[in-house]
Amino acid sequence: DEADIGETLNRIKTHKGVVGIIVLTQDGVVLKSTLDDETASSYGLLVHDLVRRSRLGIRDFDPSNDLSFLRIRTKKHEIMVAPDRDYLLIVIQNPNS
Amino acid sequence: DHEEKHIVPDVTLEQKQEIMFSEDFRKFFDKASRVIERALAEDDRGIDIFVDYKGENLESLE
Repeated sequence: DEADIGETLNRIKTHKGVVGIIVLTQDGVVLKSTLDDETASSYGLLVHDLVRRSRLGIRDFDPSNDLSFLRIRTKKHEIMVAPDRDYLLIVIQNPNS
Repeated sequence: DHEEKHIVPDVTLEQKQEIMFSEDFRKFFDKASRVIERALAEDDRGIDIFVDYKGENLESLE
């Protein structure tokens, strides 16, 4: 149930450098997050767009292929995304912490 | 059109709960959280690809 989801998110959050976790639908709707609503929805929009573009590019290159994990390192943070057909699990990390 | 602005649909709290109770979502969440936790465990081992061996800051190579 929902308590299990919360428990798993809390466990993920205890890892070093984890700033926030977001569960997103493929439409970009924030289902659950450990961040405030505004931060969660702006990260949600960013990741939704990145995943959509990556997926399009991968499939353009090879239609039999698909995206299975996305990891982006920037100067300020690292974003990890585990995507499936309908939902995305997103972890935002601060690797310098 | 790749550049079309995405509109996030309005979803009520009840609808979100319903999604999270679905079998489909459970399957996704179990698998995705396992993958994420494995990736984080790797990070916790302290392996950082940007680690500074030579006193150069590899993250600002521009």
